[in-house]
Parts: sequence; structure tokens; C-alpha cells
Amino acid sequence: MGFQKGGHKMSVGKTAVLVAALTAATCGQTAIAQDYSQAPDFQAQVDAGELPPLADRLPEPPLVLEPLEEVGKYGGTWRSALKGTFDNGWIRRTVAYQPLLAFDYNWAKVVPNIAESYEANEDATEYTFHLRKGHKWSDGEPFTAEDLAFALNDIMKNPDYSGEKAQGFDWANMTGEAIDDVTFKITLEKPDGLLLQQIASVNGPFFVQAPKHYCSQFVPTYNENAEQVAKDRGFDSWSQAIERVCFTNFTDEKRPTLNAWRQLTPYDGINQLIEFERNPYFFKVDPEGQQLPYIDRVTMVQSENVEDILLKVINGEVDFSNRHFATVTNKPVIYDGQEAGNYHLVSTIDARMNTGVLQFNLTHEDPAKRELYQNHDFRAALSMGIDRQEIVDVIYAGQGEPYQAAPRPESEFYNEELAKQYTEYDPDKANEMLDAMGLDQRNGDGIRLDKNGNPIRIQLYTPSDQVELNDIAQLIVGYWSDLGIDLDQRNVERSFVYETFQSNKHDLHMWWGDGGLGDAILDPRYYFPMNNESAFAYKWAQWFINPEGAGAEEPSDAAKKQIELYRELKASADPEKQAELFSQIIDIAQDEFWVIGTVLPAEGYAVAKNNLGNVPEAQPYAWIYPQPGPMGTSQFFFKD
Amino acid sequence: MTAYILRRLVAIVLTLLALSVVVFVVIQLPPGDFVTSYIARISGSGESIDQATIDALRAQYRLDDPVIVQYWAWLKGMLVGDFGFSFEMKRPVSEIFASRIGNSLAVEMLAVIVMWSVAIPIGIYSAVYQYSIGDYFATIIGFLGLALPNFLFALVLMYISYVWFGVTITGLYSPEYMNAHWSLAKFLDFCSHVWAPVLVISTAGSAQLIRVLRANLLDELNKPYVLTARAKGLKKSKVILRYPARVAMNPLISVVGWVLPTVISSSFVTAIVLNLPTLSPILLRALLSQDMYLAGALILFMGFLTMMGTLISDILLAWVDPRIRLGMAGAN
Amino acid sequence: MASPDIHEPAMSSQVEGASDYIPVGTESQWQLIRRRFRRHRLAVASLWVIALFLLVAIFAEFLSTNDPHDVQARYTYAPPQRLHFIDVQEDSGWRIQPHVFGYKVEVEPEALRRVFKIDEEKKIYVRFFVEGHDYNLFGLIPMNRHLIGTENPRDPLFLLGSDRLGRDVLSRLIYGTRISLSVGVIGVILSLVLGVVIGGLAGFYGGFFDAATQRTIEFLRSLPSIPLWMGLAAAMPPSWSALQVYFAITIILSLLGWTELARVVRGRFLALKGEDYVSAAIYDGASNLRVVLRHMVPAFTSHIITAASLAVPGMILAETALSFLGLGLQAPVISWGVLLQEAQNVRVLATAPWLLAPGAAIVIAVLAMNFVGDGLRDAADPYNNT
Repeated sequence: MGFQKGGHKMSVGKTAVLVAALTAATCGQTAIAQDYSQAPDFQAQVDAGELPPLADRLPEPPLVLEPLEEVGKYGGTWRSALKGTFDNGWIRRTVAYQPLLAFDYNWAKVVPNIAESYEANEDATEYTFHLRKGHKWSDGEPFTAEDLAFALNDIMKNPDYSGEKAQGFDWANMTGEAIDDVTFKITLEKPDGLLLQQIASVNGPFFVQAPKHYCSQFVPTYNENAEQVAKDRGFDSWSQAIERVCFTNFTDEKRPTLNAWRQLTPYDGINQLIEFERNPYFFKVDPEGQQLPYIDRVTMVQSENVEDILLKVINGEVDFSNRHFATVTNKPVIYDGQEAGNYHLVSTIDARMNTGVLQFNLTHEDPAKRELYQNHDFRAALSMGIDRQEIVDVIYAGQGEPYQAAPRPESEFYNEELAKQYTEYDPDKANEMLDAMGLDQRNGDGIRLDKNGNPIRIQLYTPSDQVELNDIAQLIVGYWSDLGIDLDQRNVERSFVYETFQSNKHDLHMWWGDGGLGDAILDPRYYFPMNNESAFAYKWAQWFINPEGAGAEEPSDAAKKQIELYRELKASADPEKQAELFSQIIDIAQDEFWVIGTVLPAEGYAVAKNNLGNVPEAQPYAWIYPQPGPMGTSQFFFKD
Repeated sequence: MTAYILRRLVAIVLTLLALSVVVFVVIQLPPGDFVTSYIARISGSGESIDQATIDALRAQYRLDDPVIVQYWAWLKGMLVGDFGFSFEMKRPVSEIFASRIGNSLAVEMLAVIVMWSVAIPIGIYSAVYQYSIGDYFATIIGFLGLALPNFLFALVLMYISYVWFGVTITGLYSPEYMNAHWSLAKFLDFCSHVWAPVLVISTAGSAQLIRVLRANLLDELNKPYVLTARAKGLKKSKVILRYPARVAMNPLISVVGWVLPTVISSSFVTAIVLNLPTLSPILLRALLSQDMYLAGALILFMGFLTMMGTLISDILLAWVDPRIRLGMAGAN
Repeated sequence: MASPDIHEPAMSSQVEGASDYIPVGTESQWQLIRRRFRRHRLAVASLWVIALFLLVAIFAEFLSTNDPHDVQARYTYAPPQRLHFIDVQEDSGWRIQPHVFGYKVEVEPEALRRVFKIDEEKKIYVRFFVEGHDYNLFGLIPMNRHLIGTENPRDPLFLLGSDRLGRDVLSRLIYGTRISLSVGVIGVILSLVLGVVIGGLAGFYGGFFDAATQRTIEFLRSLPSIPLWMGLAAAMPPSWSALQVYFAITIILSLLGWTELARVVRGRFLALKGEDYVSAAIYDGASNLRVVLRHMVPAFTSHIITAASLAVPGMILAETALSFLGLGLQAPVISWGVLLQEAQNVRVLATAPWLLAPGAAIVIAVLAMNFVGDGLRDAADPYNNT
């Protein structure tokens, strides 16, 4: 991640149109109106006096979005599908990714978005954001630095707020301050060199999801009847009202927004069709000065099952999406349906570096198991006992390559040694290594005995909704039984999997390998124990989060070294130094070989209708970088 | 009669009370609680969640209270008409309920009607022409629906209608009518969707009806009055439809009680596959995510519906059949 | 079963029946039932079908052509091979020799799948009683002979195609038959025991016990079955072994299934209690147990068998429904429900419909069991003399 160095002031507008607009702005508002144009229905409303003129609706300067392919035209509806009531992730990826600063298309750097520019001090303790003058919420109310301070100080930092919070921020550490209407400053007690990336991540938009003029009605600091207001709206408490209405949940269509489309129907689990329409106050224009978005409406059908979504896709009822249905299993069906459904497949670069990471519990409560699992050779031998090529052949029709839990080849942190060590299938050598470890005694079933004379039985729970993980696990059961290891794998409800490892009761945990690209540095869960998802050393991760916290245990020296390096990394505002420190963390991960990887995922895919314009090709796919959001979905348009 | 109905109503209330205990315990049985399943779900998109948030959520939903306390709070609420709160949808249960009950009842009622109209002709035919080719054919058709697992039938219907007609029949409305008010166009759209679930649900239950009707009719057909009527030269069809068929219908009323649970159970699976906006998908989700008040209230409602069905069928029977009515009086 | 004691009720039913059918000598009740049952030809045919299913379940290992868990990486989603009997030789002579053709396999990386073409060049001969994977017949006798198989065990033989991991669908179906049928049968036996004991006691003693039983049955029947199964099934500790889960599922199904049987039994008990011959036995000083076992139970055994035979398919369907919801038996256990659960997606419908074979097996088995149950009921009904 080499984004522009802090302390350097960035500006956005480089196009002639914008320069013209800026100079025109000094001459008065009326001049701008001639340079910008808007959707026909808005024009009609302006002519009828129902809507203020465009010049009064756009901030100065508006953001000029360079299209991926071409300048588009107005019209159409973007259709996609949501699964169940809990799929706000897709809305956050498509409609609601409008953070202060955004990732650029290639996930290479952080660029201005709602903020026109920003500054950071050398110590990474003070960040200042400059907003756009005249920026307005979708209801026409002014958007100012006060709104940002409200979201940060009065909601996230509020000790009485008990609802969900944006992930990845250290609230106690940050304080927001509205210097004036267009200047917002965040002051940190401890330096955080990753703050800008965090703001550009999927977690960042919380800043602009709580318009103060609307959301303060639920906050007791501003409204002494807040609790009653919440109850009248059917909520249990004011916290819950905030969480549902003024956070990432989209249950209240009346909440003003800065997004390209404003909501028409709430996503409350009851409505089957969630609709959005163009926001007349949206702050982006194309190089020709047309106000974005091009597409009139966005609709999402709420469905209960993925097979239904898949049928909608192949029937041509989805314009652009890869949500839920774009799996390995479904690809042949979707591929075959292209002609009839009038759509095509576009590739995505999966940021995940593994289709299944096996994490032995190195902080197991049982001392015998702990000792065994902590043995580097034990893990290495089991890794060599896995026939990864067969996994690739069986499950991925030959697409993919044997890979450990390591940054992807495209990543700047790629470490070939870490990626490839112990991936060679060599059961004989694995058996020799296990024998050499002193595990040469076997019981009647051929299962090796541990030093206490108990057969080595490893329990693995895999979530039943993850077909591929279950299949990989079943294959591994066979491979390991050739090594004399009894892997007892069960498909269970996903929540049980979590219940098990988050109470440190697991032998082995298996999950997707997140953190292969730009998310490596923000979410290095498999490289060292750092969050609740680091199941290979849950107690060490707790120690990293809070050494005094429940379940925390002092990590091994190597892990401690990594933790120190990561703390140092966070304290630095210099991306180069951050990269250097992170490489050291990866090097230690290579020596320690914490977790066992299986297969590097081949490229993913998304479905796009043939008449859709500015479709992203080979876009990274991740959560931190909420594909397709960073492409600027407002530039999608329908060709004739 | 009134006393009888009153007694039954009291019994229903007591049964519901017992049911509420069972339901609450059963929902609590699986390990973990709503917050665990919530964490598990958001992890699917690569998210992680910190301990402070987890603790805050548990406190917010009062999941750390003892089960008895949670149950008592729920029960107390229900007595004053407050069915609690859905953790997942963050709304009062009654609101969710109100939004879906119409669709649920529409689909289920239609299914019951279709079930009867399929079962009655087949039942009569196969009793009158017992052991004929036609009997075997009709019975096989009638039983196919029972033998075919609902989810498979629904999935195959869904796929066939895509391949043959190029339409996705899932849901009850096309997207353009989902948020629209009722109109003739929306009604027609509804009809073009509702046939699939109705077909699946009604075929699942009609086999039982055919069986009951056939058995009863066979009994009646051998009674002396039928033989007499036939011997006197009345046409067969006339005899059957005028007397035995009518008498054989009586037991059909008594099956109202168990038709409802059958319909509800098969609509449960069907609605999930076909993505119907009914209560069933909400219940499944609530059960899986341990959204206990929502799941509890929905199951209680289903139990209530079944019990009312049984009561109504008993009252109808008594009203139709003097023997039962008198027997009831005698019992008093 | 055909003991002389049951003549009494059988006779009485005939007298009451005022039949057009004159007994010559004395036929036992069972002979009568058999005679009537034979008239329901569909039921008779179904009985043979069920026998076939039972044989498959018993000799699953011997009948299966492949190890049902064996993963063949090169043959994922392979379509079924046709079994040919007439082998045309190169010199244009022919002989009867069953064989299948091999596959030509190509990978389409774009579509992420293997494409199979029948390779007529490659004949794979199918032999009888060949050696294959090891097993224990009836869990006891170690064997490795199978009814049919290929000469070279490495050659593919997928008579019903293969699944997503390249496992043989036919062999999995055969193994699944055993699990699914046994869930049905064991579940019904459990419900039967519960139903007969509880229903019998209620019917015989009446009074408070009867009232309590009635309320309990009403209560259980008012429960919507699927959510309750779900709750119970989800509550099973996941650490249980496959066998434990199997029995737990069976018990859950039968716990909710006994009510119907109990109702039937109680009803019959109440009816029989008023019969003269029962009163006679009681006045004769027979003990309660003797009255019940000697005089009452035989009189409605046929009804119990009927009710039980109709309950088996219900159990089998319930098992598949639980599996569909992801709460029943789980892989690597093979049951029809598990197989269908793996197959219930659009990918299978569109590209591998042979994976729905278990669906056909369920339909056939459930239909057959229902018809047999109906046949039995018709036959056992004393009033039905048509």
C-alpha cells in the first residue's frame, strides 16, 4: 500500500471542466449551471420549481469521476438481489461506499472522495479533512464538519451507546473536532498510521451515515426525549434506534444520505424489494459535467435462497452482481446461461489467498495437545500429507495452485518461501517426520499415539453452509488417515463453529484465507495472532487486543516480536516504513509456519448485462475493499 | 354446547401455556445464542468483531439473564399483547407478523381448497371403481405428491418454469408489483406466481384426504340402504352422490384439525425454496439465528392455529352429526 | 401369530359382517387378510418392490460397484455410462459380454468444469463376482467380492454417474437405502412400542390416565412438527458420533410419531372393551394382562400393522426434510436425505440430473409403502367385504 505520504496536501480536480468550474465559481453561482447538466427528470423538476437549480445542489468543487471506459447517458434500473434480512453488506458495497477518503480502483492508494483533501502530521496523531463547500444531504440540508464530529464523538465514542460500532477503530484513542463548516480534525492520543486506510475501508462510511439534523433526535445528549422517540419508532432503546437508523443498516428510508442513490423502501426484512432512486444532491459529475449517477434507480430483490438468486441471474434479471451466487459450483451454469440471459462474466481478483486455512489451536487448554500442535514439524508433516493438486482437480476443476497462507503473488508482500513451503505432496516424508518426532507408536486402527499413549484424534467443525470447505475437509480426512492421524470432521451450523473456537474449545479451525492483497496489513489475522479470527492462537490474540483482558495469555517470543512490530507499524505514518515492518512480520510468519494453507483461489467472477457500460474488469474482490464500491458505481450506465 | 366450547377454549389456553414453555426451552437448547450466530454470520464477509461490541450486544438483548427471567419477561409481555422484539430485524414481533400473515394465509387457504377439490373426485372415483385400472392410476397420481419431497418438487418446478417458459416463478409477485398497491394487474401477477406453491403444498396433503374419503365411502357403499337404492333401479352416480358421498364427507370435516399442521409444515419447506414472502422463511431464519422471541411467537401462533382448527372441526362435526352432538351432551 | 385363540374375534367379525362370502372350514384371520390383500394388485406389486428395497439394504456392500466414499479426482460430475450387453468384436463377430465405454475427459477452464465424452475406443468389461473394496458382510464376514465390477478396478464404472467429488452415485444410493430404510423401520418400531403401551394403557384403564394421555397427544399433535424437529435436531451436541446422531434423529422422529399409533390403539381398546367376549374373559377371572394380551391385542394387530406400515414412509420423508434443512444426518453418513441435500441445487438440475436418482428412490419406496399400507387396511377392515 503506497498511498500518498501524509502531510502532503492532495487535490482532486485536474480536468479542464473542473478548472473552468472553479474559476467560474468565483464569478457567481449562475455561471456554473451552464457547465453542468443533470438527468432529464431533475431538469423538469427544476423547471417546474420543485427542485433547486443544479448549481445550488452541487458542492464546489464537485468530484469529477473519470469513467472506466466512457462517458455514459442517463436512464435505467440496476437490478440485483439480497439474501435474507442480513445482507446489508451488498448495499454497503454498491450504493453506500462513499467514505471521506476512498480506495482507488486498483487498491493502490487512498484518494479523496467526500473530503476534497486531507493533511496528516508526521507523528500520525493529527488528521485534518477539508470538505467541499455547499455539500448537501439528499434532503437538501447542508452537510458540514459538525455531522462528522457528531458521528464520531456523540455516537461511536459515546459511553452510553451500546449498539454496533464500526470495526477496526480504536474509539478511546480518537476525538473529532469541527474546526469550521468544511474542516474536520481527528486527534489521536496514540499514533495510528493506518487510520487513513481504515477510513477508506468498508468501515469508514460510518462518518457520513448519521446526519446530525436527523439522527440527533435519538441521542439523549441532544434530545431529552430520545428514549421515547426510539420507543415510538418501535425500538427497544435509543442505542438500538441509532444502530438501525444511523449506521450501516438501511432500515429507515427517510435518513438523508450523501450516496448516489437515496433509499425509497427500508431494508427491514419485510419489504421484498429494496428500491433506491437518484440523489439530486450527489456530489460527483462526469468529465462532461453531467451529474452522476447515470442510472435512475437501483433495486434489490430480497431472496431467501441462493438457488433463487442464481435462477434470476441466468434468467437475465440481474444487471451487475457477484453476491452469494458467484461460486465455483455455480460457474458452469452461469457460463452456459450467458447467451440466453444476455449477460457476460467479468473476472475479479480474489483478495483471499486461500480457499481453506487450517489453524491448529496453539493455545489449546489441553497441555498434551498444545505441545503437539505447537510442534513446528507436526504441522509441517501434516501439511506435506495434503495432496493439494488433487484438491485443485476435484473441487476446482484444475484451476488454482497449492498455496500456504501467504500474501498473493500480486501483493507487494509476496514471500515465495512462505507461500510454497511444505506444499509438496510427500506422504512418505511426512510419515518419516512424524515417526522422528516420537509419534511412532500406533494403535490397532493404525492411528498414531501421542506421548501419553492416546490416539491422535483431531476434531474439526466446518460450517455446513460452506460446501467447498466441507469438501476440502473431507479430502483431508483421507490424506491424514494415511499419516495415521484421525481427523474427525463434522459439518455443523456456522454459529456452533464460532461458539467453539471463540471459547477456545477447538482442536482445529478452518476458514477462508482473508488478507491476501491490500487487506494483509489491515487484517493480518493469519500472519500473527491479532483478532478474534486468529483461531490458531486465540488467547494470544486476546493478549494483543488487551493484555489484561479475559482469556488473554502471553504469546510465544516470536508472536510477541510480531506484535511489537505491528505496534511499531501502526505508530508510523510513513508507508515505506510500514511496508518494511510488515515484511518483517511476514518473515517471522514464514519461520513459525503458524497455519496450514491449501489452495490459492483462481480468479473470481461477476455477472454483467451486455448493455451495461463501465463494467469493472479484474477488480480486486475483498471486504475491506468493498468491491465493486471503489470503482464508483455511479458511473454504471445502460447503452442503447 | 356453549359449556363445551368454553371448556375447550380453557384447554387451548392451558395448552398454549405449556407450548410456550416447550418452545422457549427448545429454542434455547442449541448451543450459543443470538449474538454467537450473529458473529458467525458477519464473519462470512471477512468481518471480525471485537469483544466489547459482543458484550454490549449481549447486554442490549439481556441474553446474560437466566433463562427463567427471560421467559418470565416474555410471558408477561405476551399477556399484555407485547410479543417481544426480534433481535435480528430489530422490530416488534407483532409488526413482522402483521406484514406476512396475509400472504401466509392466502397461500395456505388456497392450498387447502385445491387439496379438497383434487381429493374429493379422486377419492370418490377410486372407491366406486375399487381395484380398477382407473383406481390405481388415480391413486398413484394422488400419492405422487405425498411421495415427492416438497423441497425437491418445488426446486424442480422452479427450474422447469425457467427452462420451459423463461420465467422465475419464485416469490408471490414480480419485482414491479412488490411495493405496489393492489390492482387487477397485481392480482394477475399474483396468480401467475401462486400456482407453484399451491401445487406443491396441496399435493402433499391430498393423499391423506383421498385415503380418508375412499375408506369412508367404501364403508357406506356396502351399507344396505345403498344396495336397496341400487336394487330399486336408481342410477349409480345418482345414488352415490346423493347419499353415501354426503355421509362420507363428514369425516372430511374432522380432518380440518390435522390438515392445518400438514399444510403449515409443507408450506414451511416450500416457502423457503420458492422464496415466498410468508411467515415460514422468517421462522426458519429466526430458528437458525436463535432470534428467540420471534421464533417463539411464530411457533405459538402455529400451535394456536392448529388448536383452533381442531376446535372448529369438532364444533362443525357436532353441528352436522346429531349423534356426536347428543354424545357430547351426555358427557356433560 | 396364527394361534387358535384368535378364532373368536375373527368369527365374530364375520358374523357381524353379514357377508356374501361363506367360509368353508375355518380360515384364520391372517388367511382372510392375505386373501383380501391379494385383491389389491397394486399393493401386491408394491410388496415386491419393498422386498427388493430390503434386499438392497441388506446386501448393500455386495451390490455396490464402487466404494461409496472413494473420490476419483478425474471423474467429477461424470454422466452415467450405459451398460451394453452385446460385444461386437473387431472381426465383426459378436458375443454376449456386458461392458461400458470409457470417458474422454476435457477440462473447460473458462466454465470451470470437466466435459465428458463417451470413448467408444475404450471398452471396459463388466464381470460378475469381481474383487473390489473390502467390507464385512452383515458386519461380520470379511469379503471383497461384489456382484458386478470392472476387471481392472482403476477403470471407471459409473452406472448412475458420479457426484461433485467423483464418487459413484449408484453405490451411494445403495448405501443410502440401508440408512434411510432403517431410520424408517426403527423409528416406527420405537413409535409402535410407545404408542401401543401408552395408547393401550389409556384405552384399558381410562379415567384420569386416559384424559392425561389424550391431552398429551393433543398437545403433541398441535405442535408444528418441522420447527420442533429443527429445535431438537439443532440441540444435538455436534460432538456426537455419526451413529449417535443417527439414533438421536430416529428417536426425535418417533417421539413425535407415536401419537397417531396411540390414538388408533386407544380407540380399538375402548371399542373392544365393550365386546362380549372380552367381558366374558374378565368375568371368567382372567388377569388384566391375560385379557389384554390373549384377547384384545390379537384383535387389532392388523390395525396396528396397517398404521405402522403407513408411518414408515412418513419417517423416511421426515428424514429427508430434516436433511434438507441441514439438521438431519450429515455427510459422511450416506442417506437418501443427505444425497438429496447435496443435489438440491440448480447446478445439478442443469448439468447433472442423475444426482437426483435418490429422489426417484424415495418416490418409489414411499409410494410402494403407502400402497401396501392401503392394501393391508382394506384387507384388515372387517366391514369391507366387497
